[in-house]
Amino acid sequence: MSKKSTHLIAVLGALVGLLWLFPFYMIVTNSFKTPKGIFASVLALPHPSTGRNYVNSFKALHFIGSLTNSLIITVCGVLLIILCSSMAAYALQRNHSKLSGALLLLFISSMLIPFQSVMIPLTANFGSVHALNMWGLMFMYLGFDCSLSIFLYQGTLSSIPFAMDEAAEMEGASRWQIFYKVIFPMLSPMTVTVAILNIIAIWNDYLLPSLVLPQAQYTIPLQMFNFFGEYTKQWHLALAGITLSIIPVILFYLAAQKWIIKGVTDGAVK
Amino acid sequence: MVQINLDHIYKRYQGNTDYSASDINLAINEGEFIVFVGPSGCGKSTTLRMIAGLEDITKGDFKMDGKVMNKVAPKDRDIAMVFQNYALYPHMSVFENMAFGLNIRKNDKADTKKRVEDAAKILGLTEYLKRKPAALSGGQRQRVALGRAIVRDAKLFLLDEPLSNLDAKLRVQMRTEIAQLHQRLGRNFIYVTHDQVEAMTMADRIVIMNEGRIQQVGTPAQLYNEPINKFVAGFMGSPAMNFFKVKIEDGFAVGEDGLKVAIPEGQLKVLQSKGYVGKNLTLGIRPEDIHVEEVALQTFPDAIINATVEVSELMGSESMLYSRTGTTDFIAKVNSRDYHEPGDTLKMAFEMSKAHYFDDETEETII
Repeated sequence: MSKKSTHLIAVLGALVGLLWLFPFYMIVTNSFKTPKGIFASVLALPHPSTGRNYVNSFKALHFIGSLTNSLIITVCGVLLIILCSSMAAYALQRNHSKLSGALLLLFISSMLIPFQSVMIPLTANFGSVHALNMWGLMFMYLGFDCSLSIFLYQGTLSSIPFAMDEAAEMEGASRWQIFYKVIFPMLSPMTVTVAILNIIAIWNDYLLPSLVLPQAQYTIPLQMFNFFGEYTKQWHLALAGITLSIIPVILFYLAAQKWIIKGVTDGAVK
Repeated sequence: MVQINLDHIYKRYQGNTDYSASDINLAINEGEFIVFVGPSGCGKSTTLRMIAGLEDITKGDFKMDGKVMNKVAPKDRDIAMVFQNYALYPHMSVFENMAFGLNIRKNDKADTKKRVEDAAKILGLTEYLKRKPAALSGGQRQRVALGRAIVRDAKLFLLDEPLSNLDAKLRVQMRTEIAQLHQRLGRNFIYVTHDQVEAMTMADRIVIMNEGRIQQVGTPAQLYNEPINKFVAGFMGSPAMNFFKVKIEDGFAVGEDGLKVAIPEGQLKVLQSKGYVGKNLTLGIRPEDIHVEEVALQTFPDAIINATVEVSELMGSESMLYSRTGTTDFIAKVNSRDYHEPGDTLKMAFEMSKAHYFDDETEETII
């Protein structure tokens, strides 16, 4: 590739990068503006700049409480999905019966069912067993999200030779030990992928929690809705709230960066 | 060490009508190195897996020291196994891989450490104990797989084509190391391979299999010199034995395409007594028993054929002459001094005292 085309690609890449960063610029800069400042110029840098929005947003969101709720639901929900779907995929992949094949197809086909078509009967059923709370919500997420996760895990498992299981079995490992000591660690790259997909989906979800959660267990996205009334939209507080809600995700990314990159790139090269 | 008996063992997989292994009947003595050899799909790995407990036995009994083990779980059989693809756990270090079985069995940690270090010393892996399998070469990975089996100190070691993923040079080296390991440990080894050279060089006894059945059991020399049938004769030896369709006429083995060689008196008597005179049969002669040097042509004047060299391979100390007489292709393994170019027509002498004869219908050995 010539030097000229390399430079051209670099410039194009930088432009695409800036395009991706632009929403973050909008959110962060406007979160430091007064309501008047936002309407005066959305694109301009904050002048005068105020940190008041963060204090007010923090209070209005009941940030510590809603962050805790979001964290509990996301972390527990994702762990539950990873645990159940990896075990289910392992059982389905290693068992070559017709029933296993049929069950796998059933899981995969369930991905095609639109959430909106089942949300009312689902909440009615959970309501009847007094499970319209964060714990019930986690089980709903498990039901909705494990099919894709099983599908993903199943693909990875098919590339792990059965000799691994047999070697561990010969060494004296039980079926459970084979799974959690040998197979599950080998699924790490896919576990990272499954975790990212589900963390994003659950952390940002609004509709299902709005149907299920009592006010005391509201997550950050639900609390954010308080800034958007019928007649007024408090953009300055909402944008500060969005910035606050992004921070845990960024911290998660920084902490798990090594694993995420490994998970996404694993298998890309020999 | 353990006495092992396979008593009329059969294996049929679900949905199959045929048996993958039929009437496997074998007694293995204490400390013996047994090699199962045969072409792909002959049932050797199936038999090994039944011994390991990884496959159910459809019929028959597998016994260790007289005790029927059919229903005993693999982990309780006191058997260690080395897999074809090594089956090393990629997320564990070499030490953890080797210690896995002992840790699972909650062995004393200090003892585990000692055993792993001892095994690593034997296999030359001491400096690699902290590495992950991905950072090892093929030969080192193979050693780790062996090490994992050694530390268990099991009664019986099963090795399923353990060298098939290695390059030729390393394979020769590891072959020697495994043979030395067997001598050192004094345990029973059962080794599966499709490579008859591995079988010949390592085994105390070879079990040669074909189409799910044991064809012959014997020492490498027995199988090479006294094959029980045409399959064994053709399988053992590299290059393989040459076969010629002949008829016995007036003390000669006569082929349809001009081959005519005298049969030694002793062999002729046996063929006559068994009623093979005038009948079609197969003459087998090994490539190394075909000679082109002048002295051999003078020594065996009544066993000379005319042949054309089609391909010749100079192997260093010897040459392979891929030749044709009439319509029959055969190989002669000659000294490299007697190298001939493709297209050369020459006389070749059969050393008939080393010839084998096989019944055309049953393919069993006559002599």
